[in-house]
Amino acid sequence: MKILIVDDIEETRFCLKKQLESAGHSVVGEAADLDATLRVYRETKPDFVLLDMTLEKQDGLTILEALRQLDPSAKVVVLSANEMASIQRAALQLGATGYLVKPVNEQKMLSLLSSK
Amino acid sequence: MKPTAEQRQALEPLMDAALRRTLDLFSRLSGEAWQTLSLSLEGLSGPLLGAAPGSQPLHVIQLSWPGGTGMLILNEPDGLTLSQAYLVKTIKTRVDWLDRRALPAAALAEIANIVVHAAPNVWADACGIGLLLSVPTLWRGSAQELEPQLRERLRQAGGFSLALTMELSCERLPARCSVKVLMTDPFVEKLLTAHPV
Repeated sequence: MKILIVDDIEETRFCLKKQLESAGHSVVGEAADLDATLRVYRETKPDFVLLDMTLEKQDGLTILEALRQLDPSAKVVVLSANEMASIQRAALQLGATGYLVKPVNEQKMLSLLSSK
Repeated sequence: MKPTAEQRQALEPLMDAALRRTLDLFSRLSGEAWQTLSLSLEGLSGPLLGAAPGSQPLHVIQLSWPGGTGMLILNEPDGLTLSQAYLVKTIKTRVDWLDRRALPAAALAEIANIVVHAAPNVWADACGIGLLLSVPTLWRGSAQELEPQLRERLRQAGGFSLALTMELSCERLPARCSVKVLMTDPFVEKLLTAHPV
């Protein structure tokens, strides 16, 4: 799968990239904010976006909404330490393909990416 | 605000649930079991960092939400131990650490992001609300240096009156730390309306 990672901490993107590449996925782009996410998405057309919920400039829900407006078929999996039912519901209502609570179970994440 | 006996009794199940969730997260992040050294719910009269162990420089990582703020507090050696345990669990392939000098600090920020979410996660669901937490802010220095800076920041944010403090340790790493959650009166009032957890 071609994957775009959205997280504003470079080292966190590095860790996630290592996990994904070990499992045979290809990280085709990385972004740290809304503008970069939309630009890299247009350029790379990933199969999946892995989107962190807590970012410095915008929250993940704002980026999710913008991505789904850009491409209603965009597959976005939210990664977040926020386990609150109302926040998960909001993400799924905005069109998230999945919502994985941190610490993310690697097998669960990989199986979600493979199943869609 | 010193909690009344009735408030303490009403809040106790929520504090215990937050503690259980926090312990579980530390264990999953580090791969080792963590224990509770102490759990307290008090007013904000004492030093914020007073319970931090030893004379080593401290890491304080803070996240906030409307009505609350949470901090992971630990000394530098324990911070390094915990971040390494987390990285070993997360990255299974070889890493050239000299190229990734920022990795331990970033790992610590991510650990704090996860464990500080534990209490508001439990409480928000019990109250039927949603909260978005800020990104982590990292502080490093001696307790003497950090205490007035944190106090000033909290004074500017305003209104914190009650502190839940969890002192935790892991013998096998070994490491220990504090997780402190500060709450405003309106937030405490909201918690008092929570459903049973």
